[in-house]
Formats: sequence, structure tokens, C-alpha cells
Amino acid sequence: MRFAVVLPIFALAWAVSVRAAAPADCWALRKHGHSAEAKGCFETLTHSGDAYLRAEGFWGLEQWERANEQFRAVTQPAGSQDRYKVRWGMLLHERFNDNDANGLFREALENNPSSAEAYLGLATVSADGFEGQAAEYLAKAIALDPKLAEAHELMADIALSNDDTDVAAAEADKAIALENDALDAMAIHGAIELIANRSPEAWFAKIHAINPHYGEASARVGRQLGLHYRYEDAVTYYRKAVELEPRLWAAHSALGIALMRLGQEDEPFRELELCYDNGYRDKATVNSLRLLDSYKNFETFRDSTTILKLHKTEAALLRPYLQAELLTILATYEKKYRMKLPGPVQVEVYPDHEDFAVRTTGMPGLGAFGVTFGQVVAMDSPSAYKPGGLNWGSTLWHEMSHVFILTATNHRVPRWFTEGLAVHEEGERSPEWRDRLTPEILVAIRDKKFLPVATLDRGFVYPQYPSQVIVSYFQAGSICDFVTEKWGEDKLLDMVRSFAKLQTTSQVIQQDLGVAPEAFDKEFFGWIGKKYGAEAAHFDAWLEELKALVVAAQQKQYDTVLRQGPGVLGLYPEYVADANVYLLMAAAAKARNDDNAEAAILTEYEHKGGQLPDALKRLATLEENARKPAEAAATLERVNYIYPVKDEDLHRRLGDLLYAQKRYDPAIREYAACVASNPVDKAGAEFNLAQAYFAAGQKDKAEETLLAALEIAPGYRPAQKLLLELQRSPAKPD
Amino acid sequence: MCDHVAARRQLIVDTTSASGGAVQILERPRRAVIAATKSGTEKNATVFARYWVEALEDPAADTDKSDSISAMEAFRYATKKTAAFYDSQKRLATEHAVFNDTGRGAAVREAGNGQGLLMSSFTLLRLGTSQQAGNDPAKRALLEKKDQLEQKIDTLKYQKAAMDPQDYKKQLTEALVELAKVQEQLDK
Repeated sequence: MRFAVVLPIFALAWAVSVRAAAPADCWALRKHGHSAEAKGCFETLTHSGDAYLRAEGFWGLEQWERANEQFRAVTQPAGSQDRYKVRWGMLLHERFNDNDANGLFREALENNPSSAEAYLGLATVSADGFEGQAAEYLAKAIALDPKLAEAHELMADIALSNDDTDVAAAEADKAIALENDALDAMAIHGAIELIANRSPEAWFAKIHAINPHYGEASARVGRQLGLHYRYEDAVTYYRKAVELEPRLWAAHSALGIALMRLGQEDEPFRELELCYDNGYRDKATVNSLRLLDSYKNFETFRDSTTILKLHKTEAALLRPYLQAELLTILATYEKKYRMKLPGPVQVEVYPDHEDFAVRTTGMPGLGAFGVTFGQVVAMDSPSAYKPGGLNWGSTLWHEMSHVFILTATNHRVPRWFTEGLAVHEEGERSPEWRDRLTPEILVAIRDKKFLPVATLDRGFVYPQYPSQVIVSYFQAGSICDFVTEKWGEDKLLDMVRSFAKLQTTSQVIQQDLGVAPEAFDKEFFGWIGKKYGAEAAHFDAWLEELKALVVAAQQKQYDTVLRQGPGVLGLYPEYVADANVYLLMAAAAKARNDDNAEAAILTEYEHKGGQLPDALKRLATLEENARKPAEAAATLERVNYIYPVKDEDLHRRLGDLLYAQKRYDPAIREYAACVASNPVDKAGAEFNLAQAYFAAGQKDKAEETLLAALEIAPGYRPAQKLLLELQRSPAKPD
Repeated sequence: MCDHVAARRQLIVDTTSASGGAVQILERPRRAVIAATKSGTEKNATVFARYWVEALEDPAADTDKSDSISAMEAFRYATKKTAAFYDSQKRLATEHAVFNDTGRGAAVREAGNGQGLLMSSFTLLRLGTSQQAGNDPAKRALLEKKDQLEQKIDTLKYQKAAMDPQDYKKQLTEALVELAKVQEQLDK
């Protein structure tokens, strides 16, 4: 909705009192902080004979249902004005019903394809969902009505979210030029200043000169700070927002969620409950409250450097793995980044993906697997996915890289760099964890869709095509690989330091790598072309040949699969997803009873990062049969990073392999995992664990575990024998 | 048809979809009936049979370490693995196995209230060679002692919730050690 309000506010108040109120006047009074006058103005509207005016009146009085009824009435007649539908849509958007809001905007556009306000409505909804279309809708709105100040304000907001500061400032200026009370545009300017580590006070002074109680500006700044990893600063601004405008429930909700991101629970609960009790029940608020409530089902484990929050149902199983990995990660990154974290890092692991999704509410990006808020990491548990859907190990290394980089840069780092470095670190930990060269990425390389490094951030927040976020992650990770390969890993550390000094991407590339960003792009694109250009060029051929191979496999033409498979594989060896050549060939080799060939192709699959637990466990079996127990154990250890849950057999097998190799400590870990998996054979699992404890010289634990086995099955003879052995030989075994 | 089979005890395992609908028709005294689904309305293809067969091949199904797998052990193994299958595949379970071994009433999913006694004593498979110590008069005293100790352990387990944990552990350990020693002598 556009308001051509340029009147001094006193004149406006006078005008409203002496003539019939118009909605724009009432909203302007509110915007300028004249709450009592605004309320009177809206009340006047509710007594109007015009249903549309009544709708606006009830809306202003926060009587949502009555406003909704009036909008329904006014839009009922055929040929009703399209702007009524737009306004109704905006009401619905404000009351958390984006689907119906979008429907109304589209209906308005059907009636009037030139409705700039309808496009603005669509953009508003899209922007909330970080959809790339938002900018397209805004461009249309501005083309239809260049004087629509709100469109410029939203464009500025999107541009700043995309780290396009110049456009953000320019669009904000346009809005202010059109309307001198464009408070949200001023807020964007304030956010630009803060993000650049400058004082925003001049802008806030302008805002408060117009409306001393305008909390929305602080909330908008808080949101931008959150999007730029400045989580604590975001809390500061949300606090200012609710202080200025105590009934700004959206800001209370955002404050609660922002505090949750800092690992807090009590204050977020109070803030969110306050919203709920006052009727502000959007998805984010309600789901966050539910999540807080569900924390009673979690257990927290603390030590000096880590806080681990695990669901009770899988805490016993996952804790040893996660804690050990976390300590390894901390030691590795402390050495690599030459720093220590200022306090313990909190890692929350959610077995229900929907709970994890609540933690990413209001965040851009993939929202998959993990998210980091400073010293707090939230991630999916492997049990949230089908076997093979998630590698928790690579996720943890990725997120922990963010923890270090955000700390090292005091949360002042461009998105592309921290994401790229995190992806790079996954590959450093294990080449098998290197970022997947998925078909979408290959197509992006073929179609030359990589962005210049200076604007790579724009590929993460408001994607211009569906797979752009995935492509951007890959590009960012590859850039860090490229820098390491050409300049050495220390250069990445130099770049971290430069970003901490608030230098831009272009400045960092120029200064630390000694090359202009454009030249860097040229060199990087050439490097990518050399690595993947041939695969990208042959993508369509690969696809056709893979389809033919799948058909041959379905028709059990195993010789054909084994003969033609290597050729198809050569076209795109990184492909390990559905219907990959490795597994087609392995199945064919198995059908031909050729264990060696099957093991060879499965080993290739494993080394390319194949993650299907059943395939890896089959490889372990083949390795065991081929008397390669160390290889078999290593293969099953890989599965532990992928799907250690709901698989007692995995832990028992791995435990047996490790025990046979006299690797008693890891064998204890595996047998304990088997016990924690609530196995069918509880007595057997406890006995295996007791044996491993005994072998490791931990007699007390061995006896305790053995008693657990015999309590279940008192006549369990191997356990009885071990019990007697324990009783008779107190000395530590070798 | 099964009524004409002259067996003292019978076990019928119906692993088909909708098999739960047939349980009541098949129920008889001294007959255990297992169905892959809880009713006739669970009509999707079942996976229970896969895990029932697996139970007979996997020594882990012998949860009481008696060197044999009972129908109850196999049932528990198969139902647990079936549930895990649906869970790991992120699919809603479309089968819930049930049994009835009392010959009357509704089929159940867990032992209790008289259900499960027949299946627990119904041996499907012997895994090892059971010692025939009972034939040796010299070992009868040991066998009697073994019985007494097993009963003592059962009683202790029954009283566990009401006992001091340390006392329970002490008494259980003593009984288990004693039982192990008796078994050792029996095995000589």
C-alpha cells in the first residue's frame, strides 16, 4: 500500500478530525507514533457505510476476524476493486496466511495486470521465504509504479540480505526521496552502517524524529544483523525494538528466536509465550515454543569445551561418537586456525528433522543437516534420515568450521567465504566427504552459471534458479580448494584475518592473493573447466548411457552392465547418487558370483564417497571373506559416520572385527553402541562388551556388564565361564 | 485342515497381508497362531516373513541363551526387526504382528495375562547339543542345586524393584557365581 503522506503530522491530525477519515491517514498517524489519534481514526472507519473502510478500521484496531469478514464482503461482488483484494492479501500475510494472501494477489493481477501493489504483495510473501522471485516481482512493481516507495524499501532490504550494499543504499535513498517518512528505508541505512561497523545513530535519530516509538526499524536492523551472522547484535536490536514498542509481537518473537540461537531457553520461552498469549501465533513462534517444550526429552552433557544436547532415545548411543569427534575437531581447528574458542561450543542434535527445521526458521540457505549460530550448532541426527541420507561427521566438521571462522572474524565474514571454507574443511577431513559434484552442479558448470567471486554471496540468500544455493556452496568450496592448491592453505587464514578487518571480498582477493577479482574469476573458471569441463560437456551423453545401463540392469543383462559400465563411469565418476554405475556393476558382479569384481567396484564407490550403508556393509562382508579384517573394519567405521543408529548388527560386527584385531578400546565403543541400540539379543550384547572390557583390563566394568548379561540369561554358558575366570584371575590380563 | 493334524501342540504362522483377520478363525486350545498384521484391514505387502526366517538363522534370536529358539523369541525378533525396517525407511508401519496362544480371545502383540506361555515353550530350533546330564545319577544333586539357584535368581529378579540396589547386586552376583560353578561341574 502506498501512502502519499507529505503533510506535517499536526496538519494531518487536524485534517482527519474535520473530515471523513481515509485509511491512509489512519495508518500514517500510526506510523508517526500518534497511537491515540490513530486508534480514534480507525474507530471512525469502523462506523463507515463502506465495507472496505470498515475492514481497514478493524484491521487498524487489530480486530483481525472482523477485518477479514469486511474484506470478504467487499470483494464478494463481481468487479470489486482489485486493490481491495491486495489489501486483504496484506492482512492475511500479516496474520500468517501466505497461501491465501498469494491467491488474492494473483486474483488482483488477473483483474488488473498493472497492479503494482499486487506485485508488491507477491514480493513481500516471496521475500519472507527467501525466494529469488521476490526481486522479479519487485522489479515489475517498480516498472508499473516507479513511485511506489514500499517497493524500493523492500528492494533495499533484499539487496542488503544479499550483501549488495550499494544497491541497498540506492534503493533506500529512492524510497526516502519519494516519501520523507520512509522509516524502513532509513532502518536499512542504519543496518548498512552497523554491518560496516559504523554508528547507525544518525539514521536512528531521523527515524525517531518522525516516530520516537518506531520499534519496527530496530527489528528490521536486528533481522539484517542476524542474516549477517551478528547473532548477539541482533538480540540487542530486537531488545531495542520491544523496548520502543512493547506491543510489537513480531519483534518479541524474533527476540525469543534470536535468544534461542544463543543457546538460551528461559528468556526465549517467556518472550515466545508472551507472543502466543497475545495472539501472535505464526509458525515460527508456535514451533519454537513446541521445540522449547520438547527439550525436556533431551539430555545435556557438559565438559570444559563442549555442551552436547542429545535426545534421550539416542543419547547413550550417539554421545561417545559425537563427543570424541568434537574433541578431535576442536584440537584440529585450534591448531589450524591458531586460536581457541572463548567458551564451550554447544551442539544440539535433533532426531526429528522438523525440530531441526524450527532452528533454521527465518534463515536463508539450504536449511539442510546443520546450522551454526556463533557458539551454538544445531544439526540433524542421522536418525532423521533414511540410511545414507546424512553424514553426521562431515556435517559436524562443516558446522564447527563456522564456529571457528565466526569467532575469528568477530562474526564479520561474507557468507560465501565461511560456507566455502566449511565445505573445504569437509574435504580436508576426508576426500570421501568432499562436496558432491551433483548433476545440478555439473549442469551449472556447463551452462557457465557460476557467479563472480565478488558477488557470490548473492547465490546463497535469494537464489535466482532452484539449485543455485547448492551450486554456490560447491563454487565457494571449490574456490577455497583452488586457493589452497595455488597459494597454499595459509592464504585461507590470511583471508580470514582480512575479513575480520572488514575488508570486502574484492579487497581480500586483491590484497591476499595479489590478483584482481576479475582475473581471479578467470583463473578459477579455467581451473574448474580443466577439472570438470569434459564431464560437463558430456553430461547429456552420460545421462543417456546411464539410462541404457539401468535398463540393461533391470533386464538382468549383467554382461552388458559389466562391459559398458566402466565407459559410463568414466564420463562422470563422481556420481554416487540414485542408480549410480558403481552399484549397478556391483549387483551385476554379484549375480555373476564374482566376489573380486564386486569388491573392487564397491571399493571405488566407497572412495568416491558412496554412502549407502547396505552397499558398504556388503563391501565389509566381501573384505572379511577375503581375509582383510582391517579393511572391513575401516569400511564399517565409515558407516558409523553415516548411520550408526538403529543398526545393532553394524556395531556387533565392527566390535567383533576390532576385538579380533586386539583393538579393545574401539571394540568397547562398538559393543557399548550395540548395547545402547536396544538389541534383540541383549544378553549377547552385554557379554560381548564384558569380554572387551576384560581384554582391556577393565575388570570392574567387565564384571558389571557380565552381571547384566547373566541377569537376562542366567544359564548363558560363555558368560558363566567368563564370570568364573574373572573371579579366579584378579590380575590384569594381557 | 490343521484340526486334522494329530499334533499335541501346533504353531501356525500366517505372514500374509491382512493375516490378522484370520487369527480368530484359527484359534484353538494348544495352538499358537501368529499373524503378520493386527487385522484384516492391514492390506499392504508385509516384510514380517523376511525377519521370521532371519530369526531362525540368527543365533542372536536366542535371547535367553538356552541354545534353542522358541516361537516367542522368533516372534519378538521378527516384530522388532519389522518395526526397525519401517522406522529406518521413514515409512508408516503398515503391519503390526500379533499372536494368540491361549485359544481364546483377541490376538495380542506382547506376552502377558496368560498369552505367550505356549509360544515360550514351543521350541522351533535347537542350536547346540544339550547335555543329557540328567541321565547321570552322580550329577543329580548338582542338577537339583542348579534348579534351586535358578529359582533363587528368578525370585531375586522379581524382588529387584523393592530391594536395595547394592544388596540386590551382591545377592545376584553370589547366586550367579554359584550357578556358574555348578554348571562348570556339570559340564565336566
